[in-house]
Amino acid sequence: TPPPPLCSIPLAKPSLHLTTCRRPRSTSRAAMPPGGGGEGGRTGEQRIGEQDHPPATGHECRDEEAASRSPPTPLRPYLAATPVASQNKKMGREDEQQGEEETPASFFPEDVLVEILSRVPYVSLFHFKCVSKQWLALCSAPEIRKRSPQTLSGFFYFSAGWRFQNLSGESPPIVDSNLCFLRGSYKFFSIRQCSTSLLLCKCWKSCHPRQRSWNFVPNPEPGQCFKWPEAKEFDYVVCNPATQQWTVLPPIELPDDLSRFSLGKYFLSFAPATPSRFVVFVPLDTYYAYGLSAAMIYSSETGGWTSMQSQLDCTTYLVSDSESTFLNGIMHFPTSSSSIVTVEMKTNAWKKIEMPPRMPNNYGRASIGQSQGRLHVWEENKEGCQLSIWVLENYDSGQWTLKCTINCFKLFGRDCCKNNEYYSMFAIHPECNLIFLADGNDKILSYNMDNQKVHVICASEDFFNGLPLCLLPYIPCFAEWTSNGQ
Amino acid sequence: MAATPADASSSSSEAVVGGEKSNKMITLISSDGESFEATEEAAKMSVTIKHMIEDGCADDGIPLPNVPAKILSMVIEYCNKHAADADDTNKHVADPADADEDDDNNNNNASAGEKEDLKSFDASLVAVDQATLFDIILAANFLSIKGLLDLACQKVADDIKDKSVEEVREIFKIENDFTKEEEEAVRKENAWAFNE
Repeated sequence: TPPPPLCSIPLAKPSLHLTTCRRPRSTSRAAMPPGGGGEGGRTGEQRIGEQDHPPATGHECRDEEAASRSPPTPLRPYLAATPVASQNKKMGREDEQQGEEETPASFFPEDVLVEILSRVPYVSLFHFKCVSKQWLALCSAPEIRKRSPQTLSGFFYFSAGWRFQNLSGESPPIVDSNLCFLRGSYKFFSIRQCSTSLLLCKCWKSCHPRQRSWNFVPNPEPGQCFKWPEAKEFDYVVCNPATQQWTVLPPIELPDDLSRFSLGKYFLSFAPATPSRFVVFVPLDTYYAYGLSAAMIYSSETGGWTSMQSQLDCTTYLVSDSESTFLNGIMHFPTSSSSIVTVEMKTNAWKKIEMPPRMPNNYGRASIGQSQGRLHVWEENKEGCQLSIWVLENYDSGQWTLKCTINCFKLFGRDCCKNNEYYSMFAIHPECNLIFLADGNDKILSYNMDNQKVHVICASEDFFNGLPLCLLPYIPCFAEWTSNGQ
Repeated sequence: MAATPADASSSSSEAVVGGEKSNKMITLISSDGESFEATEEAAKMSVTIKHMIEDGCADDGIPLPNVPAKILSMVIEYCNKHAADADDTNKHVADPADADEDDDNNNNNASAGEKEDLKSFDASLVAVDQATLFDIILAANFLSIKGLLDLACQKVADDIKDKSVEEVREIFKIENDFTKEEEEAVRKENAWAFNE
C-alpha cells in the first residue's frame, strides 16, 4: 500500500479569527471563507453571508428608538420613522382622513411592521414575501428571521464536507454548516446527529488523511487507501450552529460495576421548550447480557455523566442507526423489535411502547419522530410499495392510529420497489402534516398529507456529489446557553 | 380607576390621592378634544408622556392629536391595569385608585391569580375589530408603551399568520408593487412554503 500522503492542508486563513467559541451572532455572519476549493463551481450552498437585502430603513432595537424619541411635534409625530416610498403616497391620504371615523391607518411605520413580522412564524415569513417589495425586504431580513418563532428550516447533509440545504430551496443557507467556530480548537469534524437544533459532532485535533481543508473531504479515488492512526482520538462536541456556542462532552469513565460494558452510540436529545439544556444518552453493550441493560447519561445541567441501570427485560435492542425523539421530557428510541423504549429524564423511569401491529415489517426498520406534539412512527412497506405513517393520538393509552398510507408511485413517479430502489422518509414537520423524503437517486421532496401535494425541494443536480443519503433535519434555536460552553 | 372624560376646559387636578406615593393626576387630551385623567404612575408607562412630564410640559394637560378618544381610553385602561405590575423594583404601588376591587388590596408583585387576571384583561383588550387593533398599535407606538405594543403586535401576528397574501394586502391596505413576473418569481422561489 502506498504510504499515506502528508497531511499538508492549505487551510485558508479565516477572515474572522475565532479563538473563543462564544461569538456574538452578528459578527459570525460576516463573509466566511469557502469550505474548499473543488466545489465544482457551485458555491451557492457554501456562501453564508447576508445575501438578503436589508430593508430600506434600519431596525435598531425598538426600545432604544422609543426611548430616544424626543417629545412629539403636534402633527403625526409617529412618522418620525423614515417613511419608505410606498408610505409617502399614503401620507397624502392620511392627511385628508385625519379625524375621520374610518378604517384606520392604511399603513404602519416600518418599525411597527418589524414588531409584527417578528412574531409571525418562520414559514409565514416566506408567504409574506409576496405581499409587496417592502415586505419582501422585511421578511428576508436576518434580524426578523432570527426573532420569529422557528420551525424546520432545512437539513444538514454530507457532500464532500458538511453542507446545509434550506427547505425553501433558496440560497444562501440560513446556517453555517462549516462550524467555523470550532476551528480554533480542532482540525477536523464530523456531524453525527442533529437533535432539533443542536449538533452532536466528533472533533479531531489531528487532520483527516483525505481532507483538503477544514470542511472539505473529497471522495477517495478508487484504489486509494488511507491510514489514520488518530481516528479514535476525538472529542464529542455538542454545538448550536445558530448561536455558535459549543461544549465538549467529558470522556465517559464507567463505574466499577459496569466495567464489563462498552459504549454504544451516543444519542443527543434536545427540546426547544427547554433550550438551555440537553441530554446525551449512551446505551452500554456487553457480551454478557442481551439487549439494553445499562446506559450512561450526560446532562448539560450537571455537566457530568451518571450511570443508569435498565429496568426493562433483556430483549430490547436499540436500532443503532436511528435517532431518538424527545417529546414531553421523554426520550424515545425505536428498537429492532416491535417496541419503542422510553426513558423519562426527570424520573429515570424506563418503559416500552408497543409499535403498531406488524411493525416493523420485513424491512425491519421503523423510524419515529414527533409532529404537533404527537409521536409518529413510519415505515416503508414492500408490499404494494407503500409508506405507512402512524400517530399515537393518546400517549397514555398506547393506541396508534394509521394516519396516512402513500403509494411510492405517487411520491416518486415510479415504483421504487420493483427496481429495488432505496428511498426514505427522513423527517416529519414538527408543526404540520408535511413529510420529507429522499428517493436515493435524484430528488428530495416534501409531501403534504393534507392535500396530497408533492413538492420537489431539490434535485441531485443541486448537489456536488449526487444526492446525499444522510439528511439531518434542523430547526434553528437562537436561545443562548448561559453557563455552558467553553 | 376608569378613565373619565372631563370638560376640556378644566385644568388638571393636582389631587394627591393618598397612599405612599403622591399620585398626581395627568390630563390627556384626545384628538377629538376629550380629556382623560390618569395617574402619573399610569401615564408614565408611556415613555413619550414620561419625557413630557419630566420636561415640565404636562402641566396644562397633554394633547395627543393622533389618538382618538375611544383608543385613548383603552390605552389608559391598559396603563392603569399594568402600572402596578410595571416595575419589578416598584414593589409597593399601593394605588388607592384600584382599591375598589377586592383582591387588589395586596397590590405588590401580582400573585398567580392576579397574573391570570392581567392575562385575561390583556386578551380581552385586544379582542377587538381590526381597525381598533391597528389604532391601538399606532397609539402604543406613538406613546412608546412597550407592553401594549408587544401585546397588540402579537395579536396581529397571530391573526395574519395563516392568511393568504391577498388577504394580508387587504388587511394592511398594501398596494402590490410587484409586476406579475416579479411576484411569480418570488412565489416560485418560496414555493415550498406555499404548499400549493
